[in-house]
Parts: sequence; C-alpha cells; structure tokens
Amino acid sequence: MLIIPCPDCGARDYTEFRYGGDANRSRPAHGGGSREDWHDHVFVFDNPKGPHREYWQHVLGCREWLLVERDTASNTVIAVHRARDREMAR
Amino acid sequence: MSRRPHRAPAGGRIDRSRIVTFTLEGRPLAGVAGDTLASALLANGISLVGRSFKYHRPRGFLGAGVEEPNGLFTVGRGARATPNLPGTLVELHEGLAASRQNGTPSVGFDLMAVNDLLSPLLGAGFYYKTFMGPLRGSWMFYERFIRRAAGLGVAPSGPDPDRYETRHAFADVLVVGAGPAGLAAARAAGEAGARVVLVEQDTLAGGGLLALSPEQPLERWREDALRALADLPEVQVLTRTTALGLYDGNTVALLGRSAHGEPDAAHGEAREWITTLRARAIVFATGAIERPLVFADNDRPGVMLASAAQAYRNRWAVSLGERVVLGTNNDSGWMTAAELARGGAELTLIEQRAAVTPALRAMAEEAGVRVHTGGLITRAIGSRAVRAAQFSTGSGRDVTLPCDLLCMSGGWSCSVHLGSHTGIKPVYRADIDSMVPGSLPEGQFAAGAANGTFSLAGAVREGVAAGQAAARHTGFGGARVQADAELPDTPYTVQPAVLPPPRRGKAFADFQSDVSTHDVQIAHEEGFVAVEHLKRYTALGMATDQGKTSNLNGMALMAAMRGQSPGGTTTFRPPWVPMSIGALAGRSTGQHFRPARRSPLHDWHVANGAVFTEAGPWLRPWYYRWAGDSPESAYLAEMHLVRETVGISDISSLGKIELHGPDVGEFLDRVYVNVFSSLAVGKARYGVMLNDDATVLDDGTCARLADTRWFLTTTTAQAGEVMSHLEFLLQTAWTDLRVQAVSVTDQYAGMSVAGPHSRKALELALPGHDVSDAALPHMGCLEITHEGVALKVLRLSFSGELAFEVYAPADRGIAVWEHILRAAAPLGIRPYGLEALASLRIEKGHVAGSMELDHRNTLDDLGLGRMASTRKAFIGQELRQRPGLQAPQRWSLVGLECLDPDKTLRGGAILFAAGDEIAGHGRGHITSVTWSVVLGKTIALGLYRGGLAHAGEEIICAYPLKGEQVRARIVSPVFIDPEGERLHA
Amino acid sequence: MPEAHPVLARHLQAGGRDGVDGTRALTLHELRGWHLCQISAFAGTDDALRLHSRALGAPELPRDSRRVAAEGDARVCRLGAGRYLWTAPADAVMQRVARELDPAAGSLTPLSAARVRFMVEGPAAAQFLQRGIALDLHPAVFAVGHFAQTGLHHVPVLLERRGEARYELQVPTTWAVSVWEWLTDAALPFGYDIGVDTAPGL
Repeated sequence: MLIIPCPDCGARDYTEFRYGGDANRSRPAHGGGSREDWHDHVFVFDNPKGPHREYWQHVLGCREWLLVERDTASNTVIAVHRARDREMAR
Repeated sequence: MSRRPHRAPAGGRIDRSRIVTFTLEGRPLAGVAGDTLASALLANGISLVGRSFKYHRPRGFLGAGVEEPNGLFTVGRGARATPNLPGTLVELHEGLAASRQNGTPSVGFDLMAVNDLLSPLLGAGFYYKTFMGPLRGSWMFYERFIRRAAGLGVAPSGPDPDRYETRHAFADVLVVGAGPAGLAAARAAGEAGARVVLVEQDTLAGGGLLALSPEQPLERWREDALRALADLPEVQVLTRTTALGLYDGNTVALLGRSAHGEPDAAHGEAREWITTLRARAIVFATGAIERPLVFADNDRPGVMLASAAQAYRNRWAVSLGERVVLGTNNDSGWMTAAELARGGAELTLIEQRAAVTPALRAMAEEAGVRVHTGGLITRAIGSRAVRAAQFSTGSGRDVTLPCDLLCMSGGWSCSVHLGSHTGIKPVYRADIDSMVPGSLPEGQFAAGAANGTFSLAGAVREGVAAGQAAARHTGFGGARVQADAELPDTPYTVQPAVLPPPRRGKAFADFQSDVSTHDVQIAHEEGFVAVEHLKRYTALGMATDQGKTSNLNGMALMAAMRGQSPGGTTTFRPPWVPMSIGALAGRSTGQHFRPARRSPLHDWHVANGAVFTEAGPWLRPWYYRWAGDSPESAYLAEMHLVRETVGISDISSLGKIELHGPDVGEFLDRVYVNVFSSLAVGKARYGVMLNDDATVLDDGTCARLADTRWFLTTTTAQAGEVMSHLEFLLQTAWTDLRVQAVSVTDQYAGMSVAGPHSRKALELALPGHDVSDAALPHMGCLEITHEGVALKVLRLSFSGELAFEVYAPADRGIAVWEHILRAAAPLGIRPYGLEALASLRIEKGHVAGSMELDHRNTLDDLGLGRMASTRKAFIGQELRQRPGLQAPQRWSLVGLECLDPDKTLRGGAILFAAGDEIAGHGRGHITSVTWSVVLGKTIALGLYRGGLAHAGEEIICAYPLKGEQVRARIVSPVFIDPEGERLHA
Repeated sequence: MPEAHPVLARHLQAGGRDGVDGTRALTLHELRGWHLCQISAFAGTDDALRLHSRALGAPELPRDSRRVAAEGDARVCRLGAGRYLWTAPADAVMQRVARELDPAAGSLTPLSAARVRFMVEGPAAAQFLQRGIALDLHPAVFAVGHFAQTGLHHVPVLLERRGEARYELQVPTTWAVSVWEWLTDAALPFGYDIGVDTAPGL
C-alpha cells in the first residue's frame, strides 16, 4: 500500500489523503493566461512512467496540501514537500 | 475402506488423552487434540475424501498441509457451512461437522463418475469447441446442466453469523514462516534489538521440523528457539496467522484465525481477522512444497506426497501403509524412505537417476530400504485405493509391486508466491530444478527452503544472516547468534523429472482442476505457447490450491513438448490461501459499513416522529408523521404549511466555513463568479463557484458578519469538495492572501424558519431583538445573543417564502429549536423535512446540488449567466468562453408543467420535441419533480436543448423503463412569485 | 441559559459489557466541561499571532507538530501551518482573544460544540485502538504527550496519548454517535465500562 510521509504527521497510509492531480503544470496567474494557457493547464498533462510530481491533500490528517514526487512504476514516494513551502520558495 | 486401526500407539504431536468427537456426513467419529480433520479421518481409516472436479474420480489426500488439492470438505452447519476447506488445514474441534464434496448422491457412490468414461469429450477447452455452429444457441440450454455439474462445494444461503475484524500492526522486521530459517531470522533480528513479528500459518511453529518425530534430537533446537523468542519482549510469535500477500510499502496482509471452533460471537470474538502489517524489513522464510510425479492414475487414493506420508506418521502418528513404494528423483525422497522404513514399513524406493552417492545408498541399506535405480513409476493400480505400483526399469521391463501406499517425491518448489505479483519475477535454478525469488528490493530478504537452501544447517545460517541484515536495515546493529554446530547439512541434488512412457490411464498434472498430460498436449497442439495461455486454456493452476502442486510440473511438461528448458511461470496472485469474504469486510458490515453523520438535532427528530432518509452519509428527516403516514402525502402537507403559515426545517448538514482575514473579500471575488468584496457587514449574498474548466462546482451563500469575518455555506454534498478547493487555492496558488478557512459544519446547528409568518415566529421566539424588515432586510444577517446563546440569523430563502436561517452552537441546537417551536406554537409552526424542502425550491426555480448541478453543466446552462461579473476575474472565466460552452443548442434549464392531469412526470425522464422519434438521447431530461401545491399540478425542472428559447412549446417526457410518455409544456423555471414579493415581505 | 444536549446522552445510558473472559479491560468515558477553539495565523503572520495572543493571555503556541503543549489548565497543539487547537476548562481568555486579537495578525474560531471528546483507558487500550487506528502506537513511537490527526472508521479524529494506558480521542460532533457505535462494537471482546467525566481541567 502506498505510504506517504507527511512532513508534519509522519508516514501515513495513502487512504488518509486525497489525490489532487498533476503538479507539473504551472497555474496561470489569476486574471491572466490566455484561453490556450488555461486549456493546457486543465486538460493537457503527461503520464510518465517513473518519477511524477503530484498533489495530495492530507484530508484525514493535518489537511495540508503536499507536493509529492512518486515513482509511478514502483509506486514509491521519492520526495515530499508542503505545497505552500514550494510555492513560497518560487 | 479399510477398518484397520491406523493410529500408532505412541508418538506424534498429539494428546491422546483428549478425545475430540466429530461427524462426517452425520457419522460420528473420534480424533484427538492436535489432529487436523485429515489426520483424524486417516486415523479412522477413511481414505476416500472426495470426487474430482470434472471427471468425478475418487480421490484421497495428496498432502498434509496448505498444498492439498483433493481433500476439500464442507465444514459447519447451516449458515456457518463453509465449502472447499482443505481437510489438512481444518483444526479438529469438538462437535465439528464435516462433509465430503462433489459426489451425487455420495462420494462413495457417485453417478457423475460417468464423466470419467466421457473424458475424451471433456478435454481441455471442450466447451469452446462443442457448442459451435448450428448448435451455438444451445449453449444456453446445456449451460444449466454443466453449471450444476461444475464446482465443488455448495455455498450456504443465509447471512454469515460470524464476526470478523480488521486490525493494524507495525514492526521493524516481519518474518514470514516459523520453520528453521524463520525461527533463526526472528531470533537474530530480535536479539539485535528490532521489533519483530514472526507469523506462521500452522498451529505450531517449526515448519519442516514438525514432520520429524518429537523424540529425535532436533526437537531440542526447535524448543530452544521458541524459548529464546519468548524471552525477547519485542518479539511476537503469531501462529494461525497466514501471510496472504505482499503489497507496496512493505505492507503485508495477514489472515488470523480463532483457535476456537465456535468463537464467542455474542462477546464480539471474531472468527477471522485481517491485519495490515507495515514492516520496515521483511524476511521470507516461506519454505518449499514437494512436487508430485506425473504418471498414469497418479491421482488414486493412497498415492501421496512423500513428505505428507512422513508428516502423518511423525506428527499425527497415523501410519498409512505397511508396504510402501516411493518414487523419487531427488535426495530428499531417500530421507523420507528411510524415515518410513524405520517406522516399520516395508519400503521399496524407485529412483529415477541411474546413480546416487554412496552415502545415500548406505543410509538406505541401514534403514532396510530396497532400492531400484534408473526406474520410473509408470502407473498406480487400484481405483478406490491403490493396491499396486508399476514401474519401468532401466531395461524397459514394467514391474508390478503390491503396495498400500505409493509416495511421490518429484522435487521441491520454493514458495515464492507472496511478492511475485509485485513485478519481481522468480528465476529458475537448474541445480535445484525450482524457481527461486528474483532479486528482491531493499528491505526484503529470503532464507532457507524458500530461497532454495534445503539443508537444515543451511536454512538456519541463511535465517541468521537474513535476520541480522533485516535488523541492520531498520537501524539495529547485529548481535551475534551462536551458530549451531550439530545441525545436519545434508546436500540436495535432483534430476528434473522425466515423463514416464505412457500407459493406459490418465496422468494428472493438476489434481484439483483435473488437468492431465493429455490436456496439456491438446493446448500445445492448438498453439498455446505462453504459460499464461496454457493456464487459462487448460485451467491448470486455476483452482483453489492455485497450482501449489501443479504449476511447475505443468510448465515442465509444456517446455518438454516445445523442446525448451523449463523456466517460465505464471504470476501468482494473493491471497495465498482461500479466505472468507467476511474477513475482507471485517467490521464494515451492516450499520458499520460506513459511518453515518447526524445533525445535532437528531435526537429531537427521533423523538418527534421523523422518518429518516440518507443524503450521502447524513441521516436527515425525510418527513414527519404529523404530516402523514407516507412520504407521498406527508410532504404535501408540509409544503402547504410553509406556503401558508410557517414551518421549521433542519439544515445542519449544509457545509459551513468561517473565513477570516483582511483579504477574504478579494479571495471570494476570485472564487465566486459574482462580486463579494463590496458586500457590507451585515449582508449576505448568493454565489456560484466554478471549476477551472467552467463547470459549476457549487452554489451557496456567504454572509459578512464583521469586517474580516465571513460565514460561507455550501451544499451538503459538496461541502468537502469546496473546503479542499479553497485550501488548495490558498496553499498552492495564492499563498500571499491573508485568509484562513475553518470548517464549522460541526459547530453549528442550522434551522430554516420559512413561511409568510416566519418573521412573526422569530419575533415571538426572540423578544427584545429587532428582526423587522428594516433591521433584517432580505439577504441581511445579524448576530444576537438570546438567553446567553450566541445566534446567527440570516434572512435567506430557498423556498421562495419569507424565510430566515438560524444558526446556534450545536450543543444548544435542540434547546433553541424547541424554544422556537414553543414560542411560535400559536402560529401553528411545525417541522418539515427534506422532501418538502427539496420540493418547495422547485416551485421557485432554485437549482439544487446533485440534481441540476451535475458537475457537467455551466453557469449559462443553469440560467445564471447574468451572475458572472464583468468587473473582476474569477475562476473558470477563461474556459467559460469556449465556443462549445456558449453554443445555443446546449441543454439549459427550463421549467415544465405536466399537461396530462392523470399522469405524473418522473425525474430522469428523457425529453423529446413533439414529432421526434422517441428513441436515443432525446433533447434533454428532467432533473427534479414535484406536485406544486400552489399551481395544483405536477411541475418539474429539467435541461432541454435550446432551453427557454422553446418556452411555450409542448414536448414529450418519455420514461422507457415504465413505457410512459407524458405531455408537458416548457415554461419559466420560476413557477411562483417571479417578482419576489413574498421574499421581500 | 438553555440546556446543552450532548449527542451521546442516550448511548451512554446503555452501560458496559463483560468481555470474552468475563472481565472489563477497557473504560470509555466522554469528557465534558471544557472549551475548544482554533486560533490561526495568516500567511506570514505566525510570529505576530504568537506575540499578540500571548499578550492577551493565551498559552504559548507550540512549534512541534507531534506533541501537545500544556500550560496550566490549557492544552494547545499545532494542527498545521499557522493553525492551533486550544482546549481549556473555561473560555474567558478565549473570548477575550476573540474580541481583542488584531485582525491582521490572526483569528479565533470557537469549536466547543464541534467536537466530542472520549477517554479510552485500560491495559488493552492500545491493542483495542489498533483495531481501527492505522498508526504505530508503540510507546517508543507514540509516547505520552504525543498526538496525531488521523482517521478512525473513515472519520477524521485527533488522538492523544494522555498516559501509559490512556488515550484521548476527539471526534467531530456530527460523526460522534457513529464513532461511539464503532468503539463499543470493537470493545466487545475486551469488555468495557462506560461513563461521563465532567471534571474540568482534563
């Protein structure tokens, strides 16, 4: 079973989380972005075999949104960050 | 059936002083404590234990443990009857009721044995070839008979009365299997300081050691190992616990079972439970399973695995034969032959290899075993019990030997099953003619027979090494365990089994699926070259034993036919053994299937005649008995109440979110399609949120209670979605906004007071507070404290009547609700339920979650396009402009009036224009329906192609499931009070 | 002041049950007589919130996301970035903070009615909880004073180890009856006593 190490709560079963989709696309700024930008953001994403950056929310835990790098072939977690930390670091 | 006593007077791991009585098809029998059903039956001389799956051939036990394919029983009575249990795994307990399977009328006299004579017609894949051509339709005719003849046991029809559980566990090191390798690994890891769980599917720990007599010296080693483990406080030994499968993250599913035949269900004792164990390192010490030999009629009762015969003799003191023939191709067959001979049997060993080591010859001679080398067993003679064995010698001559037990030792197959579905393919090792685990990922180790190491000394050495490595992997440095010098280090050599020259009679590769060499030949001739295809075409390995004794033999046969070397295998999948469905469900049955969510006012509803319905996880009052006895009549009375006087309804299930911060206005502007930043304190506004793709996410109201404090409500169904959506935006997209969102759904009870007299009702309930039109205008909000309770009062309407929403802290909810009812009693106030609530809003044309809001439609589809602000950006704004979402032919919201007075409209009815052919998807569908108490007719809301551009037109509402077609007219969805006079009263 | 109605009122009257071996290895108590709120910062105002709330008499806000901080009668734990859960027997200080906290520094949300609190006690407490809590409760991993936000029977709960064999469970009010039914069902084989603990200061 996929186990996700939440930075605040520790290693938890994936059933405590809710999947939030691909995290590789950058969201156009609010009020900005053309229709093509938004279309690509919402509908176009890769499905790689191997490391994949994705969002998960720890809904049965701290409710933080996490940025998780997961290997889709082995279903193991490579790295986890709080989404807000990564966003603020950008 | 021979009635000769089969139980030796002494020896074995049984307690002869504790007699256990049981029944077989009602016939009383006796065994002893420590017996399995199999050993007890054999001790009673019963060797015919079932009829085979397809050919109904008489069968006896092949094995003594989890590998058993033939001896399947139905155990238990009534709703507890469980079919297809291997008798070798059933612990005998007092009063056990067992029946054999698959014989009509009985296993002893089975009419279906005619199938054996018809076998040329019933070979592999016969049903694919027989019911073809002009007979194609006749499959459905024959299928009934075939289905009745197929299968083994019969499932009970009553609900399962037993209790089951699920549990969670954690360990540093999990060791699977408590044979010598596993015991050594657990001890090594435990002594290094790790938290160890050792699981063993058997009732006793010891693995292969249990097949040795308890009197011999190696028993000391077993007892010492167990004592050492008992002394380690962080080591847990769980017997009767089977590892079912390995999953991601080193998670293993364990099936535990009760030691009691009849668990105490009244006190909640579970029969079986599944433990999800998360280990940081795993040692697989799962042992190996002996292979049968393939020769004509090798399935007769009395033909058995050599290791099984030894186990019955040494563990259960059951002697199965005085004259034994043992066929083998490997050294372990010699060890077993010597054991049985020392136990008093007359033993003839038929060894496939032409030459063996002098040591083996000397051992055999010392034990009194007669040996023929270069021989192959070709046939078992006897039908209900073996009475002779035929073998061909090196000189090509067939010899017949009378015997009452024919043992087979075709080599050992390592048990690599647990993790093989995770992508690590096992690899073939020619020196032991078996598959061993492929390269295991970090944190997983294999030891002992599971790893292809069959000597006891070797198994223990590997166990120690694996245990220490596992402990190190989890951060515990190794403590050295003393190596045992006296353990035997016998070598193991094997020659791959050669298929003997064919003789009359079927040679079985898979016993439970009744797959013979002939079937494998058919598959080969028909071009099935992949092992997965062989499996599915012949059914080899597909029965409940999942190929434990047949897989490698089947693969070897196929490889030989194709002129290739062996080495492929099918993918084993969990569970390792058959298990109760109940164990998978655990406690999650009945009321515990999923949790229910209750309003803080729930107890009042229960005590006051509410009839409940489920709205997602919520239990909500559907209607109240004061209004009527059935939902159909009650909701109408409740609707009348609200339209004419005043009613009160429980709306606690709405999602409620408090938003704090200087930037909430800006945040809401971005999230809602309409403007909120300009909302004044003391005011509320209806809002709609879109997803990024411009479909409607939710609607609700948001009230500004203070400059930086807002109160947002969502629909019941979307509360969780909306909360996650807001959190996602604040944590990933707009991290600079100073906004905090807190869910307060549980903090407040919500009640809607609605009707022309609702203001009067509040005035009576809240004397001293100004709730006049001036103080509390339409869409206004107030915070007041009444008798020490802080209340929020919002003037909002879902029903279209003058209405107020009152929110009180959940623990005072019932008190406030009762207070309002008492105070406003002179007005005739009564409670109304969800059915009326959902119907009133239809008259007003309000869209509702999960009916009109279907996650596919847009703001414009719902007639709410004018809400979208042009002054500020909002989520979904860009993609809303996609031409496809703006097309005039989209299905958009309409109202419908039923034109046929003696008919009704139905939710989900498909809409067609007059003159359309009534077929296909139509032009739309009905989303909600109600009887309109105001208009005196059935009305509905729906989605229709082109929407209100077709207002006034007559259409057809078709409900094909009931063959109905009803006429309706398209009208505005706002059926009553379009000017909103009632709202603004 | 209108009466409070605890959602478990009816269920607590049912009484305890003996277990398989005729004994009662667990006690399940509802705790009453406390107040609860969430005190939260905004992006970048965590330090400001600490200072301002402290000045108004609130307890020190912890930085540790695994341990509960106790200060006198009050207990505080960090739920996540900028969010803290504060429990106390009286709510006078909470009300003061709610009134006077600088709205640019943070906010306070009363949640006293939003939770039901249970205490699970007895030699079998950890073993019992592992029937539904998918966390490692070994004392080396989950020591006294540790807490965790997790799920029980699909319901979000907060679990705190209050003593060697004492665990507190906080459950959202609308789920409380379902969770109680699950707890008492899982406790059947162990045997249990039930009760209500109204002593404040717990």
